[in-house]
Amino acid sequence: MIRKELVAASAEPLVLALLAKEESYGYAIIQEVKARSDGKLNWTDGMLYPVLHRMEHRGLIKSRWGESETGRKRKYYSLKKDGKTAMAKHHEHWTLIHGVLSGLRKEQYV
Amino acid sequence: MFDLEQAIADWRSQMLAAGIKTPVPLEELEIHLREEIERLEKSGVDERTAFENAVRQTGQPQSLKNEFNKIETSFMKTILKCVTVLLIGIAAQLPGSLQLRDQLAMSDKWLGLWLLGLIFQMWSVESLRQIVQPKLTGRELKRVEWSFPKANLKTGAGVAVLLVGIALMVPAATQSVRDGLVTFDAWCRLVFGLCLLIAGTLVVCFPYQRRAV
Repeated sequence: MIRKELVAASAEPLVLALLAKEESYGYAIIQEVKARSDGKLNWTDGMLYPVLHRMEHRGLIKSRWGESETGRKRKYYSLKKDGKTAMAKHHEHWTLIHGVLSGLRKEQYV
Repeated sequence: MFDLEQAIADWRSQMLAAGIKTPVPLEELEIHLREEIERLEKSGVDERTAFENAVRQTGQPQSLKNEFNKIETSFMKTILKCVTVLLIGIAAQLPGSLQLRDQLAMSDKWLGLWLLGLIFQMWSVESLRQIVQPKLTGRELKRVEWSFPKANLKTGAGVAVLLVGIALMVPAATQSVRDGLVTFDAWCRLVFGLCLLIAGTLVVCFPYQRRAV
């Protein structure tokens, strides 16, 4: 089980990375994260929406109301320019942490 | 007999009771809940169990409210900060404005404070506009790329306006240095020149923006 602090910290970069591919809506974002992590990264679904609203408030993403193929209302989110910059920063930071951890792990086995 | 619509209505009431009163988050959560119920039903789960699982997965009303509260608090803090700077700007202009009203002239120290107040006001008004406008209109400003000749024309026009602004400000600045006081008509030219200077700088430095639907 991944610690909830880590799950919370990874929410923003994951959402940004998913929206960088294409615009999406809350439910689809959660399903894709679950699928890509083999269900190991399990968010409390409702908690994604405050994260999305906070990111929208900070100008990282924008939203629009649309409809699904079945006519159900959906709120679609897409990335803004500041969101792309934030995503690049997140990527840099996570890569750095990953690099440091991998380096230390390798040293343990030498 | 389980009534899904009634169960969702009850769930909405619980959310409202917990304090999620703004329509957008509640609507989004309900859409999410319905999608999850639909998915579970398709996988063979009965309606009642699908609803109960979806509600559990969506989260506790109080924790959701706490998360949404954090955003509202941060929004109000930003508004408060902008309004405070706006008031400081107005206060900074008061002594100079009163002196101008009584003596039809402004000493250079009050003029400096007056101009600083104007900068504060412009900053806070622009910040408030950026925060409030998208919420009111649901629109945002879009960056527009200019073609080469048009970009040059824009820069040229901006520089011309900027220079006229500086020219208009010179007499007041000279008067201030020479007499330590700025007369009313020189002050008017100074303010007008300052507006032109700002407008010219904006035209030169910032890409033209328009409202996108």
